[in-house]
Amino acid sequence: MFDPLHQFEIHPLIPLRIMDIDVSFTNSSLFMVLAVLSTILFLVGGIYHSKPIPGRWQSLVEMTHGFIMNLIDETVGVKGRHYFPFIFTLFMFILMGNLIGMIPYNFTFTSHIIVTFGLATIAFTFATLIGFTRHGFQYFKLFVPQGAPIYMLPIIIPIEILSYFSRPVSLSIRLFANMMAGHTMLKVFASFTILLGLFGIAPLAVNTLLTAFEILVAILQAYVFTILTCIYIHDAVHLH
Amino acid sequence: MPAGPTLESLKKKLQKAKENVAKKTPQKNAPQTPASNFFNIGAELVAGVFVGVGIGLLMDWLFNISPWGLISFFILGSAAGMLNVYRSLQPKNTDEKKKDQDV
Repeated sequence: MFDPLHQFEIHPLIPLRIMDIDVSFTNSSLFMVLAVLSTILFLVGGIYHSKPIPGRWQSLVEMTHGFIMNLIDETVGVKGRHYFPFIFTLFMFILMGNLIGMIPYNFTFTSHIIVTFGLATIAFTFATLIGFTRHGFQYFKLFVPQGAPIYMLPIIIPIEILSYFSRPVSLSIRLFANMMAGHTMLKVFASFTILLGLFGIAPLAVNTLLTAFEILVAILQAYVFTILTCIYIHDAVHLH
Repeated sequence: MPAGPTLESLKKKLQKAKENVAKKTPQKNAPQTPASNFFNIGAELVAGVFVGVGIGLLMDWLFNISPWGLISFFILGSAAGMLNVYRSLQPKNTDEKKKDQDV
């Protein structure tokens, strides 16, 4: 039978152990490296022979840059431009990871919750550090909503703190669930195609549509991850 | 001085073109499909409960107060999850807020 979850298995390619911790170079690591390399190729290749009137590749790079810059201006404001390198790196890494995963036989590293949780934790820690460096202990005001009566504060503050700490969790679950569900669905319909023989044309048609939908989801989820990071940075920069 | 478009006239043209583009794209929100909505709302709710239960179990383990940490933080976590859902469903009017903050 076809196991739709087989595609998410991790295989060590170069087994490595450092101080009893398994740090093997796995297929997941390989595709992360590929995502970084393809991002570099995409960006550097596009602007290597840059012209005043850009060609197709160069304008694609410029549009990507402008898109993220615009996103930061809209969600964080002009002050957020300092954090452009971080946000752009995050966006490109997730986008390339999602898109490389759409090529058959490739591994999608964003379909593992530990990867997305790692990325979300980096984004969350970054936003929190910005908040504390910009506002110092004033940043704790974030947990006290404006206009709340004092006798409600003992309940509201723990809820606000828990809500704050649930940000990286919800961020990671969202990306991981979308990628994993999408790829599982593709595999299930692909196995229907093989099982049904001649009638397999029906699930094949569905799969064609799903592939297009999955490419949309891949780009959309990278965008959603980035915009939510921007919103958290907005909260850290502006406080309420 | 050579005849042709001056910098000023070009600027005016660019401004006009930008305004036209802005008119054509009134709202720039993330496109929402039912599937993505389902995952977004679900993730918000589940995340709150997860964090609540996690902190509750940690409190139990640290202070040896089982099961009160789990019980109280599960309730607080569920409340936080619902707060997350409520906030994510609020219409985003960040554009207006930003204008008076950044100018």
